[in-house]
Amino acid sequence: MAVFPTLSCSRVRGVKISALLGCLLIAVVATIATAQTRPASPAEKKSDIAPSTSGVETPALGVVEWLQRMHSASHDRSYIGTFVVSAAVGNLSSARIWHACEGKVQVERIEALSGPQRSTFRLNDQVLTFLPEERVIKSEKRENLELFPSLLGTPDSTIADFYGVRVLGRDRVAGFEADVVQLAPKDGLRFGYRIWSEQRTGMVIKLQTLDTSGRPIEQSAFSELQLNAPIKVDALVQMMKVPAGYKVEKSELERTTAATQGWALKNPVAGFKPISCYQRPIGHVGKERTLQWTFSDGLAAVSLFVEPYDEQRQSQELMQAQGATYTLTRRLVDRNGTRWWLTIVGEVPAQTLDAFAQQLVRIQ
Amino acid sequence: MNQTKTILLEQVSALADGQLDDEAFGLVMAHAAGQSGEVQAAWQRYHLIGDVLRAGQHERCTDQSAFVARLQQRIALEPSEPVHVQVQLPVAVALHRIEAANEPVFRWKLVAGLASVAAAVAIGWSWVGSISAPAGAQLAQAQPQLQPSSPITSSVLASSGATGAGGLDISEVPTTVAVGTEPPQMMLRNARLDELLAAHQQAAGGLQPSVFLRNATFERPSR
Repeated sequence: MAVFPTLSCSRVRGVKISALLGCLLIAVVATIATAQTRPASPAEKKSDIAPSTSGVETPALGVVEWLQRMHSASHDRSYIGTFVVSAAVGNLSSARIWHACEGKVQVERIEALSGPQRSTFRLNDQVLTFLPEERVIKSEKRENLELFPSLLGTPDSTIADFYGVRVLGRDRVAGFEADVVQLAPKDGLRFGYRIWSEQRTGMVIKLQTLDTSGRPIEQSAFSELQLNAPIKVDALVQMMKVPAGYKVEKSELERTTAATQGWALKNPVAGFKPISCYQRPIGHVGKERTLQWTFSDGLAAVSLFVEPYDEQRQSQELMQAQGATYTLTRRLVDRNGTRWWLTIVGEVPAQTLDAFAQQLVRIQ
Repeated sequence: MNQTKTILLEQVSALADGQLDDEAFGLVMAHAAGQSGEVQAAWQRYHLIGDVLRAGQHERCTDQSAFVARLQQRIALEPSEPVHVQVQLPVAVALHRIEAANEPVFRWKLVAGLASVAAAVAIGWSWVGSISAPAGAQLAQAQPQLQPSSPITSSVLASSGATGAGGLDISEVPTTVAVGTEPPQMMLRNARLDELLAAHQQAAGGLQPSVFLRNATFERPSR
């Protein structure tokens, strides 16, 4: 082995090789630096978001067209990245994401990097969540995309009635130039969003949820992203196989309607359409069930959970926030004197949850 | 064939010890670039041996292949492709070598940066973790802070007062509203509420790709 005879004077030679490779390093770094700073205009250095001045033109689109562009960009591309979510209260979570797309098949792997260990796999609408600490795999189906056809190609949507769109300028996120688009609510029943959409593809690379006064209450972003990454659908699908020793828990949802269960809204809450209604098991005993009635305005979602009131279990009525997610709990008494326990969860302002609580009525 | 490889490995060893002049350096680089991971592995092994012999101990370092992979990703993203493909691998390895041997301070900076991020994550999750630990039990007993000065609070209370019509009797207005300029000190959480949050996220997950990513990333412990 040549290492031994040359070792005696390795220090001297080490300096030489370092100098040589150092030059190469500087060359590479310099090239990268030039490549990255080239598109930046002087204005961009002054503020976070600059008016778009150079390079690719920001398209002049309506709110639905922007959403369509963002939606299809995130679906139709393969990418690998690190995604970070942070709420105003200070908790920070991150995950590593692999997304592959071949024709109509989409597959995604999301590996949580913080909190309890878990990996989420999505093959089209089939979702598997691996919980290695418990050796459990949760299996679910997601199926409410068809209710907002606007996001899948038909420019027919009420989203534009409740949100306005404004292009704020350009910014750089995870090494990419992005158009910054603000979706401002037209009433007080929903939050606003500031979206960083990658300039060439339209992909969402950063998202802020803004409260009614325009302050960010939650944000998520790619801290690092590789677009058009060479990943194969097959390779990810292979990883969805159930390993030995794991138990698969299927979520036992029973499709139903609110009317069948004896519930209705006196008046709809502006902009929110019902997107699904299920009876779902809750708790660990396995006998209890709760009604979940979910609404959406195309961007934000609200779930109403109704179950019989249980004096031993249910606690105080409250309204609380965690990041952009608000929760309301309330005791209800219907005409017959039966008591119910209502929990409403949604990424909407407190008054929207309150509006739902006021409109909910027992019709049996 | 085997002999060619042996010669190449000897050259790599000499390269690791800085023995090669400019011309020989270029030749080895050109040859090594066409080879499999074996040459790269040898390059790392020779450095390890050198380190141990010089310092008497092996300094732990991060996964070299991860570093190389990341550098390659970044280079691949550059539109102008500044470096010829054949030279990528040796350059990447050399970069790492420079950090590890000649600039120990730089490495410590990296570690310090990672540590602070890790701390932030740990702090961020601590309250969630501590509350969710004894699952099934009713936990956080502290009352969420009442903030009567908050504009949202007053609007909610005002509108609640106006109800009562219809078949439903809202028995009480919400006791507490923890909304306002300052976040609540303590959230009321329990296993059941976590389960409902997870159910809500599942139903909302199909709306926008970013919502699904957010929910999968920012998932509360649901058990």
